[in-house]
Amino acid sequence: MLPIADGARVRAEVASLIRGHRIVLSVVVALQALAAVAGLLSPWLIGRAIDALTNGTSTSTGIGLVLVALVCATTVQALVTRFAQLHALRLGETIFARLRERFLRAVLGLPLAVVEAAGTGDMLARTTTDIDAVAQMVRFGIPRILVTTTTAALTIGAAFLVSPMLAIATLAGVPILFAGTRWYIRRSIPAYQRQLASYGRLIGVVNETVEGADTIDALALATAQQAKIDAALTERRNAEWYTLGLRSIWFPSTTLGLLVPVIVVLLVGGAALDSGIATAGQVAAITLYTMQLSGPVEELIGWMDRIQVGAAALSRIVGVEDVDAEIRSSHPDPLDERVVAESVRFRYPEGGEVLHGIDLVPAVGERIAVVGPSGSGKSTLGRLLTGIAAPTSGQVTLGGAEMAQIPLDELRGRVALVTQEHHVFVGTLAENLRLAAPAASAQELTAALEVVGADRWALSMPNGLETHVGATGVLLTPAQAQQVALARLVLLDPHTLVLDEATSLIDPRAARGLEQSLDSVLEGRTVIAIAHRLHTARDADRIVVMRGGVIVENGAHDELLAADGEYAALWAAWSSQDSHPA
Amino acid sequence: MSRGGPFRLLWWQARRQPGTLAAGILFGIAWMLCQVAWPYLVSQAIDGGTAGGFRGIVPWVLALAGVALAQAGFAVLRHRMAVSNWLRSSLSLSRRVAHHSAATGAAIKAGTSPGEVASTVANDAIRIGELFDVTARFSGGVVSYAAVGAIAMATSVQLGMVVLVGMPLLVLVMTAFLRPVQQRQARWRAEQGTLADLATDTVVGLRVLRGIGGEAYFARRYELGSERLRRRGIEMAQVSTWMDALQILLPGLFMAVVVWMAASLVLDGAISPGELVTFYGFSVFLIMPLRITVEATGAFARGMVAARRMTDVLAVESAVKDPETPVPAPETATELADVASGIVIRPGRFSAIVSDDPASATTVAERLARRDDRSLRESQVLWGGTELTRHRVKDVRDRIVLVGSDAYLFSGPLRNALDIREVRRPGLPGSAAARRRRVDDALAAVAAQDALDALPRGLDEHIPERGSNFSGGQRQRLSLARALLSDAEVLILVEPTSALDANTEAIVAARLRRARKGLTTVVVSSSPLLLAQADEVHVLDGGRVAGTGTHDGLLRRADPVGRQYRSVVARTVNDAEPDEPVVSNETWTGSIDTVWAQAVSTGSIPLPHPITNPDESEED
Repeated sequence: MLPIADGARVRAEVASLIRGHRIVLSVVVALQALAAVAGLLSPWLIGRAIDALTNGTSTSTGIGLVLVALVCATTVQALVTRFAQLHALRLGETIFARLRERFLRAVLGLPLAVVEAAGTGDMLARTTTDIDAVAQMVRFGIPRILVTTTTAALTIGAAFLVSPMLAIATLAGVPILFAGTRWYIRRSIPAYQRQLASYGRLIGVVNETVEGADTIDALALATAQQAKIDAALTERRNAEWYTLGLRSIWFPSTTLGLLVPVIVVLLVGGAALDSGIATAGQVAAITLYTMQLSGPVEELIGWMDRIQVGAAALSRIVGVEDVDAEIRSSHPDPLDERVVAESVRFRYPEGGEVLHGIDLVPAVGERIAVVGPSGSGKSTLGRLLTGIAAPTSGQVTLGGAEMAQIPLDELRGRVALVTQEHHVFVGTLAENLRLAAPAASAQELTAALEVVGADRWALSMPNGLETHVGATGVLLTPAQAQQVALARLVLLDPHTLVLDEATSLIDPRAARGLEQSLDSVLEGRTVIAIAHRLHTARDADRIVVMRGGVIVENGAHDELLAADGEYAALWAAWSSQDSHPA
Repeated sequence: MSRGGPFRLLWWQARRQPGTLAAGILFGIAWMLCQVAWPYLVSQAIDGGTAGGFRGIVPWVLALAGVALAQAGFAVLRHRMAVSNWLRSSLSLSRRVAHHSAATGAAIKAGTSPGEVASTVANDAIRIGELFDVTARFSGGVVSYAAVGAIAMATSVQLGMVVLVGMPLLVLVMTAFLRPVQQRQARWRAEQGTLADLATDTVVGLRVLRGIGGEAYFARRYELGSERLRRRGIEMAQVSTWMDALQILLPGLFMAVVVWMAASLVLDGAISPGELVTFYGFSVFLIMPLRITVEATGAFARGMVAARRMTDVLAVESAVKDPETPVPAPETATELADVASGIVIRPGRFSAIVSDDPASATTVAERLARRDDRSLRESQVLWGGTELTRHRVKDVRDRIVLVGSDAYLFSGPLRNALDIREVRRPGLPGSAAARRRRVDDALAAVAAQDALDALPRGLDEHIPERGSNFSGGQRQRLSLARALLSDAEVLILVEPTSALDANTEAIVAARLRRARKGLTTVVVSSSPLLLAQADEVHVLDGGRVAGTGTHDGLLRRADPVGRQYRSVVARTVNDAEPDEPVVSNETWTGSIDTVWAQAVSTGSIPLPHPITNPDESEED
């Protein structure tokens, strides 16, 4: 799992959000206060009317005036509320937009190993459910909390204006509310985090069910997968039931906390009537105020509950930024284009060492082919040479600067990696290509597609470059996706690039031509090709043979043949075949 | 989709939880009635206080305390039932959709993306849960409204009429204004969906982005989408805030009218001042059922949309179905014959299918394994002499297993992800030690010890979805081990070693044959290492068998079949062959892996140590 930010961090985050928007927030609070005052006029007017009616001093004209006053008050309240809400929502939308943009930037900056270890379920839950929970909080929660707090404060204030002595009685429920809510909140935060995690797990299981649908069918695994789904659902149910259990204690305490004051006010009011300190109208007004208080206070407490969900979600979102803070903190400037790998060792967090001391210094403009069986650490070396991961010991540098410490936006454009893994992003084909070169013109895009032999199918699609592709559009074949990946590379034009079996999915007949046309485009660039075809190796300036995480042979084609090692044996085996030209 | 679909689904679910629904309605009513009691009791207390001071108030206060306790109790029960309603329905429907997608095979992928199904399970199920929750609360609201109306009627017919007629009128006006809000909501939601897709894409495609540094451009695209969504949100707020205003204005006006009428009645001496407070209290209380009704309108609409989406997913049918009158499964060791290609798979043999068009060989394999009944309707496969489609799907899947080159590894402990026999045939005897041995054997057969060694907890290690912590080659070997552990009578493997390097492939090819001894195995491959192991190799041309023989025999054959075979298999057609100059470029497409494997198999390169267990290094 990815990290979760602690409470202090989340509070600081919220505080800085409030500080950043304090002017709009004060406008919202002022408008809400005005609306609340208008809302409080009704009980006051009714208290006055009751006094007048019991004293027998009221007339039908007086009652008519009360009606007019009530109508005016409610109209003002409605209008002012509308504008207050509009400001609040506008603010909420803006805060939320900035928050999700920040979050996405953080995700984009995450170290790959972290994302891979966390699994897609956790990440997807954060990008969807958690973002939604925070959105709910920001769009509705914050405005409503402002409204209810203001209304509650003003209601109590109004009660004090009517009769300070009776008004104190309205606070009788505070100890109950405070104790109950405190008890609850202490337990609810981890409970809601568990609830959100259970949700992520369910989404993950469903995703794999659909993605692996073929395999489930072929191996008759449906029952097993259904059992897994059930386990995820059970965890979801248990998580929900646990929070429900917490609320089952908390809710009645709030109900009592809201009703007890009404009873206390009436009792005190009765005594006050006996001693002539208060009038029936005053008692009625304060009783009404107390009852009216229960609406906003209950809503406020309800939001306390949802704040927990929002805060839990926010802590997961902000937590992603915590990961980012760990890397690329220094900003050394590369002096030149030279890539140097010195005594590089690498160990995955939960596994054995895969590279045991690699030294590799490609000359600028050199083409190196890396050859070796799978599991020999070729791909890992590729990732280290492009600064995607940092070596466990030893170092990989670019122009003297530590590769993995160079900020990503500075690093790309200089050093790039294309693997056999391919992904077509949701959007148009042009957008997919422009990932590598945002400013590229349509002509440049077409030219890049031509280099990789993809112009034919690309331009014959319904809208050409503007055709919508990816998960929600036209689905490209793996070979086409790989061509797109290579076209991106052409557009990116870095001085150093690592190709990790980047043409493995393309028809071998076409791949040879593609690699030749790529070569001509990449003239003068340093290319490290993790080769899976012998011609790539022979064409290279230098061949590096890897085995078991070490370089066993290193030299030009002819040198290696002369050395009579594994490469020579490989070559001999190949060229001795009777069906093959030597 | 039939029009009754979503209703039927909701009805199906409602019948599964009649108890919680009824209890939800009952406790909802009890809770609301407690709240109806407050204005009445408070006004009685005030009247009592006006008349008799403290002594006049006390009995009413005691009654209020009783109601307060009851209300607190009902609040909990009501909430528990509301959550039960919500949770039971949403989880049960989640389960139904998720189970359905597990059972329909590849068909689920054809019409929907994984994200859509996940969203149906996660979000639509919750929308329907809300529908069930709001139904219970709405019923409580209706009853309490009727109760208030009745009390008002008993006090004054005039006031009672205002309450009874006024409330539905308010609901009507408010729901009428709901439409423009919902329209903008729909637009906002569409925009939000697009943005969510983009965010999901980021997570999935991060590796690719990282390699080429597309992060900034991608972030820019996301920010543009985010800004559009923000604008839509503000557009929505401009309308929805009027709705908020209306929710204050209409009940406020209603309350003003009620108070005015009640005050006039007090003036006439028809009711007491305390009763005026009651009516004020009622008009304040009625805001709640009013809000619930408006909420319910929205929740019903959303719930129906969700139910419709869910029925769409549930309408996806599996590509294979049991026939109405299935024939009994044939004896073990039965011949499997593909009529269209003329390929006959003989029991107990290790056969291979080769074609210069890999897709046509895969098609044959998929027919043999009955992946899709539609393709079998046109060209049948005979299993023990009867059409494959006339057998039960379970019989076929239990005995014939097809594994593609990109088989999916599922999350969970590695042991369970691999050893699927328990799942496929529960209740088979076997000790834990025997099970462990089986798994070890299978892993040894596919030379996957390196993948296992990298895991600190070995077979107990929890692996992520897709087995994404493994390399492509490791994944392929593990999925091959899983296929071996299925103990299928007929195992059909499509390009099972495509992601393996040559020396591993050489080891796997030899051991695979041994592991499948006595059972039927079919491989679709053009790898000479695998083909050399086959008892017989079928060469396809244009979807028909052009010739059958052994690898060595076919390599030596001088006829067109032999030439075709060599061109596919060796991927090394001789430049010197003047009659086929077109394919001369293929000379250079021979992969290092293939060559390496051949070198390994001839002994010119020694077997690498990291891959092989020391005790096994001599056997190959």
